[in-house]
Amino acid sequence: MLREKNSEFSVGLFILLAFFALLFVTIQTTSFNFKQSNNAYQLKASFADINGLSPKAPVRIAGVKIGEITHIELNPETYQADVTFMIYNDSVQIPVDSIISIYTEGVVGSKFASIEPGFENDMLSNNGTISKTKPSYAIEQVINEAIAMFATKE
Amino acid sequence: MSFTRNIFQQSLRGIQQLGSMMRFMAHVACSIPHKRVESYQIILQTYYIGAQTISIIVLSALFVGSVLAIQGNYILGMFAATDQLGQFVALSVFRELGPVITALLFIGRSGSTITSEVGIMKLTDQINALKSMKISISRYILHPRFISTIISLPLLTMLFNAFSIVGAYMISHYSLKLDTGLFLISINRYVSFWDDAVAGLFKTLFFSIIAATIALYYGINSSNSSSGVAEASTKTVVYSSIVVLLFDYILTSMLMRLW
Repeated sequence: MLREKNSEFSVGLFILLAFFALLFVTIQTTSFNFKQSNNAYQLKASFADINGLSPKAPVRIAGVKIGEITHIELNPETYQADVTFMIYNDSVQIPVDSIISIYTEGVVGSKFASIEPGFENDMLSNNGTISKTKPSYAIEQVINEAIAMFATKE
Repeated sequence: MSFTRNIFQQSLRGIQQLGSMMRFMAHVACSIPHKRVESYQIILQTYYIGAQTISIIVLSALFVGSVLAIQGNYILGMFAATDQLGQFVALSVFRELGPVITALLFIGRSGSTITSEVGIMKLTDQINALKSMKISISRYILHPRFISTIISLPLLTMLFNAFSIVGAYMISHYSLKLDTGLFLISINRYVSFWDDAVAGLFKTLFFSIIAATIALYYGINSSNSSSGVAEASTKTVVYSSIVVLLFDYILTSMLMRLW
C-alpha cells in the first residue's frame, strides 16, 4: 500500500515537472521563428530618422520578407539611429551598394525597412553595413511641405 | 508552523492524486483494446452524454454568435470594416470559443453527470456487486463513458461552430441590417478548413480526454457518503474547467507555430 502511494507520488511529481517544462517552453518560444536558421546573418545601417520603426519589424526586398529588425539604438557621436537587422538565410546576398529605406504599410500602417539591391558584384558579409540609407518621411512632414508648397504657389 | 506544514501536506497529497489520476487514465486508455467493446453501452452513453446535451449547446451557440456579431459590428465599425464581420465571428468561434465553451458546457452538463452516476453506483454497492460477479468494471462502466465522451465532444463542437454562425447571420441580417452576402463571402474567402476548423477540433480531442478522465476518476474514487458524491461532482467541474483552460493556452501557443 505504501509502495503504491510512493509510486503514485513519483508519477505525479513527474507529470507536474513535465507540465511546467511544457509551460516554460511555450512561454519562452512564443517569439520563435521557424524561418530563422543557422545561416542567418546580421547587417547594420544608420538612419537620420527611423520614425516609429521598431524591433521585429520586417525587412523586405521587392515586398518579400527576408529578415527582421533586431536592435535599434542612438549613436551618441553622429546623433543617428544605428539599426541592426537580421537576414534569415544567407542564400539572400545583398550587394554593397544597396539602398535601405523605411516605408509605411498603407497610409497609417506599421513601418518596415525595404532594401533596393544595388549592382556591385561584392556582397555584404556578416556584420556589414549598408551605407546608403533613406530616412522615413513622417506624414506630418509631408503635409507641412505640401502646405508650404501650396502657400508659395498663391 | 502547523499552517505551513498543512500547506506542505496538502500539496504532497495533490501531487499524489495527480499521479494516481494519470495512472487511472493510462489504465483505462490502455485496456480499451484488450477488452471486448460493449457497443450497446457506448451507444446508450453517447445518447445520455452527447445527444441530450445538444439543446444546451445549440441554444448557447446561437447567443454566443449573436453577441459576437453585435460586439464585432461595434469594433469593426471603428475601422469601417463591418464587411468582415463573418470572418471575425467565424475565426473567433472556430479557433477559440467553439472548443472551449463547448468543453466547459459539456463538463457542467455531462462531466458532473458521469461523476455522480458512477459515485452513486459505488455508494449503493453496485460496483462491488459487479466485482463479486467478476464482471469487468472497465468494460461495463469506464470504457463506454470514456469512448462516448471522445465521440460526442468533437461532434458537439462542430454543432456549436455551425450554430454560432447561424446566430451571427440572423443578427447581422435582422438587427444590424448588414449585407449578408458579404458576411458569407468573408467567411468563404478568409476562413480555411484545415487551419481554422480542423485545428480547433484537434484541441477538442484533448479536452474530451481531460473531461472523461477527471469525471471518471472522481466518480470511482468518491467517498462512500452522499456528501462524498456531491464533493466529487464539484471537484470534477472545478478541476476539469481549470485544466481545460490551461491546456487551451498550451495547445493554442503550440498550434500558433503551425498556423
